[in-house]
Amino acid sequence: MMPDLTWLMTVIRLLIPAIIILAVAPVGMMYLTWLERKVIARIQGRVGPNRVGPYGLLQPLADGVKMLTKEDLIPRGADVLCHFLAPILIVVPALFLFTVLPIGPTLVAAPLTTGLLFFVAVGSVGTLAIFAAGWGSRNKFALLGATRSAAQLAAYEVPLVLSLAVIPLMTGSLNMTEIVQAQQAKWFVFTPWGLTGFILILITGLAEVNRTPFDLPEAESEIIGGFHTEYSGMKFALFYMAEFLGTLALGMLASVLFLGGWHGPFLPGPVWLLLKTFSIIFFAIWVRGTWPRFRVDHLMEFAWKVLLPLALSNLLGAAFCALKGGWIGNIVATALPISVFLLTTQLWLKPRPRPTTAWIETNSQSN
Amino acid sequence: MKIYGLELLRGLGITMGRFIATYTVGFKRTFVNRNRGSFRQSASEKGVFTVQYPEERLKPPERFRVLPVLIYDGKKGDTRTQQAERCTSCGICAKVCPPQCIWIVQAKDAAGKAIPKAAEFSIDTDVCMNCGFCAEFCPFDAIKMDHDFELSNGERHQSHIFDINKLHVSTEYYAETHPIAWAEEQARKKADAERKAAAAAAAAAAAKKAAETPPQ
Amino acid sequence: MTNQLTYCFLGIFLLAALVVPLLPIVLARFVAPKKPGLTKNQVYECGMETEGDTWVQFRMHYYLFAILFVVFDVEALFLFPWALVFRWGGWTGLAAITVFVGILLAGLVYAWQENVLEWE
Repeated sequence: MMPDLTWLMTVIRLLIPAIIILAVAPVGMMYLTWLERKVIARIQGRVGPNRVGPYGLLQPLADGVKMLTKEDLIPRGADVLCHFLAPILIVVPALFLFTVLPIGPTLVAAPLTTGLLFFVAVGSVGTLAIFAAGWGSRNKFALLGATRSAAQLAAYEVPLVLSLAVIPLMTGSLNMTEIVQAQQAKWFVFTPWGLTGFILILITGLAEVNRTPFDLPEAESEIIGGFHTEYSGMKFALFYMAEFLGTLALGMLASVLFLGGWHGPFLPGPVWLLLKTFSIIFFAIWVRGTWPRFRVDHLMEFAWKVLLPLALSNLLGAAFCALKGGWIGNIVATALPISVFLLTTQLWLKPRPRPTTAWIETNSQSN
Repeated sequence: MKIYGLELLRGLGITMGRFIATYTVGFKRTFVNRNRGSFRQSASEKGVFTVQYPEERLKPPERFRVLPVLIYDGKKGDTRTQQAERCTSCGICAKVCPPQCIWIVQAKDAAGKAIPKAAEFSIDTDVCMNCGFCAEFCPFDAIKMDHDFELSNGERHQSHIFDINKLHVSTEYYAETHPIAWAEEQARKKADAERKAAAAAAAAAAAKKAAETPPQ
Repeated sequence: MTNQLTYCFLGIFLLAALVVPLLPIVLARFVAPKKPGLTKNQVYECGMETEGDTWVQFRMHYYLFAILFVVFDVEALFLFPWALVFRWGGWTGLAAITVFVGILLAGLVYAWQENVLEWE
């Protein structure tokens, strides 16, 4: 009599998508570093890596080998467990993000009914890892980076979640596959609320994955390496890996939610999704090549004073649009976020009385 | 009221323009004008400005100076006996050299009498500071500054002392590296020769006149 | 795939995903040199000796932001179910949620006025 091996078959069947994700995502991330260096170089009029392999295509491998052969330093007085766990804790959730993102109508590793919530929940675990890294290093710069990071990620989490809320509002589902299917006729980015949501998710997403202009946690010109100051070798590489995996996941999420996922003429679905993802990643790199870093005070105020009211108004506008429909609904859904943006930026950036040189002169004269 | 954020979009436009320009300009450089000269140095130039050094080289400016060389009249690759040396081993270069890196030994003929020719002429390239005084002071245009800057070496005690064989270069080579200075030198020599000829003719005419007029 | 199987998959994925960071770390342990030193293992502070303890109290300001974060994240928690069943709620639901958002926005406006949102 044969032992019952169906459970083993099930495990193997479940392992296949897991292995595919775990094999493809790190390779994709490695070539993302190559793409980033090439695009930034072109923007700055350079050529970028071109020595290792044709067009420098083997550069990521060379970097990997270099990182592997670097000494792993642990500073004296560090919390060793915290220091060791942080890079693992940041990479694993970043990999989890890919399980709920559908590549094709049936090509999704975990078709959760709560896919969108799962994405947001898993995505915010990274904050914990960043804080563990900063705290565990027992370095003042690392801790400074970590506290900044916690404040920043908390601040941008709110508008991100609120801008995502328009999706279940319109589709009545949190399942990523159903969300893409709802965009069969019209991508959400071509609706007024969808466009605002798309812009919001780009801005807050850049902040969530700590990319320029929101890369304050690792602002190298102010606080050395930020939270990963005390990391070297492979552990440092893992932080980079998590950042690029996050960028990749953000690009995929934005294209799934707003750019119609796999929908598109002529080409097969996964190719379309990849094209859209890479356009968004290109945009992120382009932004990095253009804009300077936020100032820390502006960063927090931007999230709370501009993005939060904008996301809320977009949600309400979308709800109005869904109920009323027609041109009235569209106009309201367009005008509400725009007027809120204009109002909040005026209030936020209005010139405040500051001690100027004239002020100092008049005061010194009176003395 | 001011609309915020528009300048950010303008910035994005500028960088995108730069990004695209690297491809359009690169295409032009590869297929339209295959000029690999010093065009990338100008301030208005767009596109990739990187010069990939070992494969691509910029022509150094003419006044660029690295290490003195000794000039002989002739072609490249002339043998030592064919070289018409300009150096007369007068020693002015060795005297003006601020770090004192030039050694000269004057040549002697069979009878032991000094002749205007250098038997040995060596420069310690580690000491030379490329000031160019030797070239400035040489009355015979025999010493000039070179352009060859790729001098790195695995050994420094023997190979960094350049002897006369290593220092000798032809006027042909010099005319290639320094076309402007070479043309000026030629013009100056020609003018000198003409002036001398005119002076000689005038002197001859004066002498003839003096001979014709009877003394009073 | 059924829902249970999906969660099974996530469990297996967790175990498999742990390999991705652990493998290079373990590999590096064999490949990389290991020469710790007293100076080398010092806390990096641009060459300065670090002064006092690092694990000190934070600024009070972070706490206020944390409270604001909790307020608005809980708000999002309420908004998501509303958004999911929005079609059944209709105008009444929209009116109710507008009032709810309005109350919280009043809190934001108050915080703004009290300069809590400033980060000097």
